[in-house]
Amino acid sequence: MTPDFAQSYVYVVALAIVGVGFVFATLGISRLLQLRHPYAEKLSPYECGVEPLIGDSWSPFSVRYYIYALLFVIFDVEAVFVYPWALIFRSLGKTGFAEMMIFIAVLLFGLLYAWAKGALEWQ
Amino acid sequence: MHFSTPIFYLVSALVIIPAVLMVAMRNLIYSAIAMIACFIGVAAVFVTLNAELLAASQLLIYVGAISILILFAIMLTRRRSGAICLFFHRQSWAALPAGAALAVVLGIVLGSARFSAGSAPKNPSTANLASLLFNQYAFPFELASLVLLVAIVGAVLLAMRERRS
Repeated sequence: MTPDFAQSYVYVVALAIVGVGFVFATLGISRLLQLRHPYAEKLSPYECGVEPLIGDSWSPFSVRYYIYALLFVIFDVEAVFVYPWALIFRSLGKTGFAEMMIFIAVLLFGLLYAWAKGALEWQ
Repeated sequence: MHFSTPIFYLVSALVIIPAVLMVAMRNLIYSAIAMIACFIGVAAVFVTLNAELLAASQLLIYVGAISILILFAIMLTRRRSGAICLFFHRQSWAALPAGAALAVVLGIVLGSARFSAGSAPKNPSTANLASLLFNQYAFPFELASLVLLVAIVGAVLLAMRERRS
């Protein structure tokens, strides 16, 4: 393992530590500073100001979300191609720019198709 | 310019833990969470193999998208109350020879395979991969967008048919 290669992963580890540490620090500080006078009403779960539905927390959710998840997967795959492109974007010049624009334009047709078909409507 | 072999073996060994948990868990949601942990572990294995773009794709597509799809599918199909459980059909007597046979076949394949490290590119960096993809393989890259377009159309058609029925 050469030093500069190991060094590039030091940032990854540092970011991971900061990310995890931030969560614990935020919750920890709030726990230290907070006043605690609990009573039944206060301890009840709430959701956007309304009483939550009593019952199983693992309620099945609407099938309507599924199309958004499917479309998300496809545009996620698109994003993967953008990563290596962004890395050498400067050296690729105008051709590289055109390549990616064509790629995105084709997928944009897909999005327009989904839109025109009303797949994005919330019915 | 890569990780030492012990790190690779360590990470690979750690990935097996969530993989076993995924199969062993009786609750489907726990299985799915173990699977996500396994996906993250596989991304780490890719990093130790110097395949950074593959690791990024693994995180983005498998951890970020596929696992959500699978969780959605579980949430959509499970029955109204109580945890969904995996079905065990008491087929361990059949699973044992099947598993043993698979192990033998895999052993033969892995034993006879020659992993020729000599022909591998000297510097498999993401930038090199990118320049190959956008210069030499630009046409297949554009074709990939058509494949994705077909996937979108297929997803929309299926979703609309479900909605109508």
